[in-house]
Amino acid sequence: MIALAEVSKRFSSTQKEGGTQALADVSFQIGGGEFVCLLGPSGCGKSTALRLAAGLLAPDTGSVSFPDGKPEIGFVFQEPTLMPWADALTNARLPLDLKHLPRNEADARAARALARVGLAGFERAFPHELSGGMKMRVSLARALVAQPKLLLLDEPFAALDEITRNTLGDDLLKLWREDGLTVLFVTHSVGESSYLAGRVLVMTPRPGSIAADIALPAGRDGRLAPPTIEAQRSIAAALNGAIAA
Amino acid sequence: MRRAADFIFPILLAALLLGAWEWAVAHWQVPPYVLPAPSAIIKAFAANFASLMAALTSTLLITTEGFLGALVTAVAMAMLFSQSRLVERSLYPYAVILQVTPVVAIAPLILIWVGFEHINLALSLLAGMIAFFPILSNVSLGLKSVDFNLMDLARLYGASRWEMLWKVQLPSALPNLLNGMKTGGVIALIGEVTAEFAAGSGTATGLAWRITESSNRLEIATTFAALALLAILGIAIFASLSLLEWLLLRRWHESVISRQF
Repeated sequence: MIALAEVSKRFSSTQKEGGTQALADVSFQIGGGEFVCLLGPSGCGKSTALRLAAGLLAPDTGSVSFPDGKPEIGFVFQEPTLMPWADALTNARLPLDLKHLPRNEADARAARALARVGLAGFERAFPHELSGGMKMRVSLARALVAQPKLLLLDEPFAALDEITRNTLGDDLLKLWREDGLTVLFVTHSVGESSYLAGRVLVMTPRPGSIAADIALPAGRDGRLAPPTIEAQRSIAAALNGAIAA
Repeated sequence: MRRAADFIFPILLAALLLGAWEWAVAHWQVPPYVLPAPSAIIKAFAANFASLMAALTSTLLITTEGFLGALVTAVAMAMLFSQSRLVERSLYPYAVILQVTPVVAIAPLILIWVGFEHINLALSLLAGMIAFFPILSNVSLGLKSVDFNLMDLARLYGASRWEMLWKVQLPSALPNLLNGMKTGGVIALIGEVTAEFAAGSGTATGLAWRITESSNRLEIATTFAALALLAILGIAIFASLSLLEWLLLRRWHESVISRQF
């Protein structure tokens, strides 16, 4: 679905001579239908990698390619990033508006997307009337409304409380299974990555590169079994190794 | 209850002050060409009602024209600035120079260039020049303060520059625009009055001219009546722009929504 090959990225900075090397030599491939977590300490360039994958940034060297052609991409930020002047339906409809779909069809699809994330009946609610979790659900509905093949999420649940985070995680898994999505999910939580992903890419601190590529035990794809202690241990060990190195 | 108190106490205070004023003028026998009593001002207002209303209309129209002209040019220029850093860097200093130069100082030039036969155009230009900058700087700030992630998201879905501006940047800058309009509307009136004073005798027909003329003739009661009308006009401009702000932002903006929890 997507392949990054020897990607590096440097940001110019006024404070530091030569700027900051965010990513060095990052390579990974994600196949169709995979649920992959990109795990690393904060500031390691996870978000940069995700922005490169979305095409919002261009790599300095290396390449980002899509072997099966560029898919429709959905993106979810750490913050809900909603338009405060627009109701939930209008927010969820934004991608379709920008693709110039007829208003009726766009409205119907946005309403369906909101219903799928559990927000039926909240179409006319403004962001300030919604809780943090519900705002994130609107953001998720907006990412799904254009029926993406590839869903990129940048620590989407990091600002939420644990109960909300777990419910949203389960809902995301359900959507992933129903739509046959390919998901790249950035997180700094070992628990979250072991719970959600079929595969975890562990990154080193800045400049970020891939330190370990851990496939979680087969049979986990159905997500019926809780994550095993061993899985969590192996991910945590890889992360500690990456940080210490 | 609190809303009622907001009105009752200022009105009570005004009645008290006006009463004291009336009493003081009578008690110390202050000559009317120094300080007329409120009753004399009301009499002067009634006697000059038609001419004062004509002057009020003239001032209101010229101020409105100047304000609307400033609104359109300032928003257009802020949109241009948001599209090109180069244009912004080149033009912004001149916008600042325009603002820091007092209107009274430019007024004679504008009056000569536009010509005294088009006095109203010259006055509205001067009113517009002073209202221009607060609108420009507020809208510029608003267009620049858009959530970067939201812009990235729109870009991801293929938004054109125009769509970005129309769907994301302008709505996001609306609170700044309305704030700039409130400041701009009130100072457009100040600009208009200043320009009328600068235009001097016989040409201008607004309230400022009535103030000059009546004070020259020592008809101070009429001066006060015109002054009161100017104050009311200023309040009306501010109130109507505040109402517009409330109407447009009440559904979503932090400054006006009432918290339900």
